[in-house]
Amino acid sequence: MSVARNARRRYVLACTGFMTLYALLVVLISWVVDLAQLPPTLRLLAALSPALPLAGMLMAFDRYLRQEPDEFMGMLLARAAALAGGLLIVALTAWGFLEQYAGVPRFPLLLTFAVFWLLFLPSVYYVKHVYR
Amino acid sequence: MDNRLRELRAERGWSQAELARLLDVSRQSVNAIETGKYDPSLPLAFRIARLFGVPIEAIFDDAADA
Repeated sequence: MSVARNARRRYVLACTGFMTLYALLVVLISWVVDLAQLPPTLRLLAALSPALPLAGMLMAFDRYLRQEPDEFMGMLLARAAALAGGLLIVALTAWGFLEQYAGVPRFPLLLTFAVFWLLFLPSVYYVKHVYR
Repeated sequence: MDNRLRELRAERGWSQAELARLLDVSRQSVNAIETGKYDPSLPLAFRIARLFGVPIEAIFDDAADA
């Protein structure tokens, strides 16, 4: 299954690159560049910049799903991603109600992407269990 | 969808892993198809049919879905 191995290797390499870029941009806007000194538009773009490699990671995941030669495994991963996305929507909405009506602390939205992947792992396990 | 994949595989004395290797898919895929939990795409169904040298309709039966 060399085609599958190549697809996975490309995905891992792409993710590693995007995660490195993400970490660099977070460090840059957090500790290196004083965003308060930048013009408003540039400040906005700089603040948004870490989201770009995250979008790249999603595109890499989509490309991997399209290149995975084992259609069943691709279907499992796609279902797991859909399940994780659904769980994330429910969890964030529930947290929003808790913030609004129960006084719980505000959820830091910049962690949303990380939470998605945390939910993706049990989702993969669950979907694999269903199709076992 | 019902299918005769397990039966055809057994006739040839192949394990799920061997069939998976011949089809270039995972063993889990073969198991999911055999147990009817997953219906393969048309291209994969054709590959399966070619491998066993029988028409697709001799392997897959959609009567239950009709």
